[in-house]
Amino acid sequence: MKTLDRRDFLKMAGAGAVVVAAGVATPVAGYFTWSKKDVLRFRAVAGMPKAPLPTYASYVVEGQVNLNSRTGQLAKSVHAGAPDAMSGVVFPGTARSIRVTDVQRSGDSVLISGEILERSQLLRGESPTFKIQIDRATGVAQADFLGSNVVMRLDE
Amino acid sequence: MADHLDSPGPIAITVGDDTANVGPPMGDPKTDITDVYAFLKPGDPSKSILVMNVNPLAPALASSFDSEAIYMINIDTNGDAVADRSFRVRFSEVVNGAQTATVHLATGPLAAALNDGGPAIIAGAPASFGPEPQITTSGPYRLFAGIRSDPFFFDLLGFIDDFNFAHGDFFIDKNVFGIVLEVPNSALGATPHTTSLWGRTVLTQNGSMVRDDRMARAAINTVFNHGQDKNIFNSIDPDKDLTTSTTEGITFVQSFRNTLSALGGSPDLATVLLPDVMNYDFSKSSDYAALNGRRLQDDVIDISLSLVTGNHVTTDNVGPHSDYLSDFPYLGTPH
Repeated sequence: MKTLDRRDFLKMAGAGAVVVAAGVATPVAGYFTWSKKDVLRFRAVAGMPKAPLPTYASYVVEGQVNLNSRTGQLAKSVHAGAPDAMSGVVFPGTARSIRVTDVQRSGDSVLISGEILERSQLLRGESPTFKIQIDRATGVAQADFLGSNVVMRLDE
Repeated sequence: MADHLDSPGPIAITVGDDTANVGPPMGDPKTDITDVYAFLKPGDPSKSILVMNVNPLAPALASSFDSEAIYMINIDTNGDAVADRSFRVRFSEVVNGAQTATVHLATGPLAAALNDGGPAIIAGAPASFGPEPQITTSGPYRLFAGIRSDPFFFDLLGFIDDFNFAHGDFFIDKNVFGIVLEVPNSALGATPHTTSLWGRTVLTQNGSMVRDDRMARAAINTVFNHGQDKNIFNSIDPDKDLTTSTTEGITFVQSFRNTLSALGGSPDLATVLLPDVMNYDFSKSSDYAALNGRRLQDDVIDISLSLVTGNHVTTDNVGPHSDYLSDFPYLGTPH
């Protein structure tokens, strides 16, 4: 069976209906690494909704930014299943590509700003701009989700 | 959501660090029950309409029924949460893009067992994979099985956004695979006051029958059970709901009480919600708010939100779809 890479997968997911088959690579844990000098790669994951409700879905923001050029590309999506049992099914209409417009670093903290590329597909409450604050010291990120601030795991 | 995309639907089987699988034997969307409905036939209260929907987001995740599965609508006639009658639907393999369904009606002890026994009441019924519903009539019974508009309505994104219900009806343009049965009320037994029902899917695994998913009232497993407890809950029948323990070592009843307390609802509601069956007194009109059956248009989420939060949250701000049909199979044309 063909295995899709992340780029193909998100492209397909962003197109509307989500078709996911066995073998599709999907994120299962957050991470935060520096690859090369000043290039940050990360994946932030949050289970949703919060307790006392059972976690039903996983919000994922991931990508790569260059701190020197303040550029990069991110993707965000909502997957069925909790982070420890995340499925390859992306909720239709939630996959987005984000062009990074600014990167600000202050110590262990990095604030990334960007804009959604799929402007015509924005959900109710979804901003055309996006911010995520990454804190390497605590392993936590905070990002927008349809107007709400969500705390996300960012394991190194 | 009712039970869309929850265990055992697209649950992941993690392999290594970066791979998730969606597929059989467990986690097959074909047997992932999304909703169960039971209501008196409009215009003819001597008959009932029983609906079990599966395959959320159809046909994106799956485009046929599972020929290895049994799709059951179980009926308890005496209030002990054990099936006394059971409609079992099996599908042929897909041949040239077509599938046919056979419906058996098991009664007595046979109904409580995992099998596809009982006399066939409908055979060779074609499944519908297009917009036109193919309906099979056999004596007093009618069957539709195939893709239809998902009748469920809910602000799903508002739910995962911690009850910030401002994002609209997620299911307004989604489809499911519906199994719709029209049956004479007499086929449900003779004791309507103590009748209840639930949907169950069963898979064949290594030659054995395995309980896959089950559902009665909306969103019970989704809202109350965490992690592996969802699968435990699915693996037992309703008569075990009051005594079985969760992975935390407490009973499901106590776990439900804890969640209800945390949400602001009455913990005593736990023993109303469990055993997880849908009361269906077919001598009275159907209305989910009266805990009697479920019609397509019943706002099960608003009713449930009010109950489980002690009226702190009363609505998700979305209402019934406008595409329900006035006649069989009642589910709207697929999108």
